[in-house]
Amino acid sequence: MVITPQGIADFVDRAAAAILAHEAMLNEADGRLGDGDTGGMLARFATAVAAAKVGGAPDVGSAFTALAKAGSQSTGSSFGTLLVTALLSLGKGSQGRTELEWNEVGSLLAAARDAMMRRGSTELGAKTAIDSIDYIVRALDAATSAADADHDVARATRQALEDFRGRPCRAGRARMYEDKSAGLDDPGMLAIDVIVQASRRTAGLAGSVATADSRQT
Amino acid sequence: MKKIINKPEMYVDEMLDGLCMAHPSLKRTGETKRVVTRSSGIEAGKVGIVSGGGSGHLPLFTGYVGEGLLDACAIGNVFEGPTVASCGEAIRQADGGAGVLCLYGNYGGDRMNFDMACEMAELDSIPTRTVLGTDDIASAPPAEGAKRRGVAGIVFAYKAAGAKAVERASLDEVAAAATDAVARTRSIGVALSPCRIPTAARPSFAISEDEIEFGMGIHGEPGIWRDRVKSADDLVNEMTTRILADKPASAGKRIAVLVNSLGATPLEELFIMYRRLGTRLTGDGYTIARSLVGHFVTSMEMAGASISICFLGDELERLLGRPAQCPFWSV
Repeated sequence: MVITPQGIADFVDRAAAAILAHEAMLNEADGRLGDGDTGGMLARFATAVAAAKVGGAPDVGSAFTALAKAGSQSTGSSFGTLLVTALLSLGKGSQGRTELEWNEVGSLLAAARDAMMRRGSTELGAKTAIDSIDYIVRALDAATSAADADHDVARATRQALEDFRGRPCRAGRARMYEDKSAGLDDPGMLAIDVIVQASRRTAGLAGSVATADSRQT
Repeated sequence: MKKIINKPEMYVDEMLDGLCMAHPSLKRTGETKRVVTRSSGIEAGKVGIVSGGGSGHLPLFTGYVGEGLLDACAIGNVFEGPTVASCGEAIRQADGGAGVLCLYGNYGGDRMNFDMACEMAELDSIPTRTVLGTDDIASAPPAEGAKRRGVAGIVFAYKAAGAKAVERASLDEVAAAATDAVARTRSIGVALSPCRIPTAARPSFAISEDEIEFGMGIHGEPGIWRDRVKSADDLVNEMTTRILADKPASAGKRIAVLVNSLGATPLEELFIMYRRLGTRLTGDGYTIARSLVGHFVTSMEMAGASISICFLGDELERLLGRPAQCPFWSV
């Protein structure tokens, strides 16, 4: 399996549709810990990156960079800016490459994770979307085939939610609700799971992993 | 929670249109028109001062663009930081060749976007400095002062930096004036009722009709305690006591004070608060050199108020007294 600008564009379309479909759920989850607008913000972000239509980009790096630019114009929220930071990192890491092998994605995503941590002054374990991305990185590192990777990534974002649900949030505005946040899913982690699960389900790959709609929030 | 709006998603842009129409000294610019600058343009050789943040706090931030205050402001959606592009555009618009001070509240999104924009500006040979407002004493203990949020007290830093820049001070000197104002200012707020982001389904927090939250932030961040509503005098006494217990080591007896409405609380109640504040501070031996009472930093329709005390030094008091003019404040 190779990753091309058109493949990225297709993925973005599926992810955007999933986010729009789950906008209310994400707002609801954020409303328990913050001001209840994460779904709305992500819907704007998703609409903007989907509209960028990066399928015709000359290389993978340009596609990611174009997505970063489109996303950065849609929001200045912390989470949105961290996603832009990740896209810029992916763009930098794949500059000039017309396609990527699936087993190259892990290291690119690890660099993106690290860039998000630097930009957000956040560490792993704070119960943020970065933790979910870390789980994806580890799943990709351990996978031995594209099919395994696809399944394991889907399981990883679900596992991240399970592992962190009982812990308090230690980053962003949610950290101020430390007691309240234990037992609740982080909206950013939920969003990463929505993107991964729905994109996979749309592609007809869903198997043993529970559907996104069965989560406990 | 009812609002006089057209479409929730147009809240910010229609507000900015109206603001600039009502105050021709301001104009919208930038690719997405989310930067407000002075219509008169930037003065060559003067340090530019930029602020920014999410909408929903007028007069903060946009309303302080004016003579002797800010040169440009980057505006985000309600309670969201401005985009990197808006921050970068604001910096470029404010650049008169002497560098740009970015002066804004200590919030994650604002910080990340301004940091990225400053890195890009430096590549374009625009020197920048950053000073963060950190005056909310309820948001972190004194030992973690750098983690504190910026709230109403930032207007003293705007005023000091703006006046210093007008005097053609260097970028480092303007940044030092802002840093000094931030270091000398303490704020604390109380909230009686929430606000609702236009695109959100529910208010930012829930609170009973007979309750008050002491120390709540301007986005509904949790405070120190929640209890039955107390009298204005009792609230002001506790707010003042907490601020004085947190005053900087260099604090003297000359101060500037700000009693600020978070939106729905009327001027009448602010003056009832000021009555007790003035009596208390004078009784404690302080001289109130400057008083501000009104809507300076709000949270849309949130009911509540904050008190800020700026413990003056000679230079800071001089700068606060220099002329300034913007749509919501003149000196």
